[in-house]
Order: sequence, then structure tokens, then C-alpha cells
Amino acid sequence: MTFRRPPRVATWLLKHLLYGRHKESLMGDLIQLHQDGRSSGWYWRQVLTALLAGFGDAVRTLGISLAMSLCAAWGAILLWRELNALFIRNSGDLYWFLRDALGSFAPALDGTNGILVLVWLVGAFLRVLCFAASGWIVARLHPRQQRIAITALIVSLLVWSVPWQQIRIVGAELQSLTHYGSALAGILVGGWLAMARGSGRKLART
Amino acid sequence: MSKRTYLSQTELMIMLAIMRLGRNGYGIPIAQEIAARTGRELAIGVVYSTLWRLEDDALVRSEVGESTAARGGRAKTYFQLTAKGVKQVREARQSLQQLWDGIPQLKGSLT
Repeated sequence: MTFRRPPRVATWLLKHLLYGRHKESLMGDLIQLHQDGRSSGWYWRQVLTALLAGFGDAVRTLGISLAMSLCAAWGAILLWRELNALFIRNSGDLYWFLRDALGSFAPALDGTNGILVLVWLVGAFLRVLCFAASGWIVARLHPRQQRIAITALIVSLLVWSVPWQQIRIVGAELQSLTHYGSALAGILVGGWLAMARGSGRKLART
Repeated sequence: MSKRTYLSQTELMIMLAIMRLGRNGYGIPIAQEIAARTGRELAIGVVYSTLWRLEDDALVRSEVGESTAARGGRAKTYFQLTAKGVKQVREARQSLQQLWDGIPQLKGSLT
């Protein structure tokens, strides 16, 4: 008997997104029924229902811990907003400080807005650092499902946007893109660091 | 773990199906047994989600079984009711029976 391969994308989604204890058995059951003649459309419907049910299970079992970790991560983001406002207020001083400190290079840098870019980079670094902290916090406080926690933080950031300021060196569209881009990069880096630390500990225990 | 005071209809059906299947109670036969006896098609994902909830409440226990090539090498998980689960099913039956009894409109409706 030849093996009838079930839809790959659906299987991939099930493998990577399903939350639940008996994931492998559920996948095995669906593959077996598909092998017995069920259609690909049936397989897709089963996968989507399983993902929905898994999401309900995740909310049931992880809801409170997830909500608490999201609150803590948002604490870091709001702290960053205050730090960022302070940075923006003092960015003029920083500009002149850099101009003085760079001495003979300053005229050349000024010609290409170089010092302004440097100040912007400092702001961007602070932003990435704070969002990395929030990504790290959410993943550390919610160790059972770190990927779900990080995704939830990113979604929450898109839903409730933080009123933020930054030094304008590019157009309005790019401004928003750089801001969200650096925030996203920060969260992913922080989350990755927390996950890497977790797996390092697991290895040390074995 | 909080004490269970009731079973949902889906939970009760799955637990009864497990009891009927004996040692062959895994996802597919459970869904098929329910479909054959009640006409209700439960998605496999819903069956597992419910089983997980029941397992969390120690009403069922699971055991990993054999894997086959037709399942892409994935093992089956067999489920059985615990003593607590059997007690809970019995209690559910009694409560429903007490509600059933004495309703004139329902008398003889099953025959």
C-alpha cells in the first residue's frame, strides 16, 4: 500500500501551532484517517478545528499566567516610554555633546546629517534594549509556552500601540516602520535569549 | 485540582464511549463510537481536547500504545476511565435520571 501524504501545510500548522498533551496521537489519528480515504478538505477542517480547540485549551490552562506575563512585559514597555521621553528631551544636548566630542569629524558628519543619525541610533538602541527586555520577561514568566507568549505580546503591541516619539530622520511611513521593526526585533531577540537560556538549563540537567 | 461537580454532554459521551470500547479506546474509535450511536460527528481535535481536560481532572488516564506506518510513525494513546471517572459517570446518570423521572411528556418516548 502506498502512503498517501496529507496536506503538508496543514500538518506543519498542526505540528507547530497546536497546543495540547496528545499532539502526536492526534496527528497520527488524522494521518491514519486520511490514509483510509478521507479527503484533503476533511483533513484541513480537522486541523483547523484542532487548532481552535487547542487555543481554547491554551487559554484555559495558561490564561492567568499568560495575562500576568503580558502585564509585566507591558510594564517594561511603559518604562521604556518614560525613558524615551527623557531621551527625546535631552537629545539636543546629546547632539551638541557629540558634535563637540567628535571635533574635527563634525563638519563632515554634519554635511550628511551624520550626528543626527548617531543620536537616532542611540535612541534606536534604547528602544531595542527595552523591547528585548519585554520579550525576555514575557518568555521567562511564561516558560511552558514561550512562543505563544511572545506572539501574544507582539499582537498586543499591534492592537494597543504605544504613543511614542522618536527623532525624525526619515519620512513618516518609514518612521513607523523603523519603530515597529526595532520593537519587533527587540522582542524576538529578548524572547530568543530567554528560550536559549531555558534550553541550556535543560541540557545541563540531563 | 478543583473538584468536578458536573460533566458536559460531550464529556459524558466520550467517557461512555471509552467504557464501551474497553481497551481499544483511542481517538478514532471514540469518535466513531459516538458517531455510530448518537449520529453526532465530533472532530478528532475536540475529542482530544476533551480527553485532556478529563485527564487533568483525573477522570481518565492515558497510556501510549503502538505506532504504525499508516499513522506516519506516530503512537496511539489509549484512554481508560479511572475509579473517580466511573463514579462521576454514575453520579451524572443518577442526577439525570432524577430529573427524568416523573415527567409525563417523556414517559414512553424511548420505546
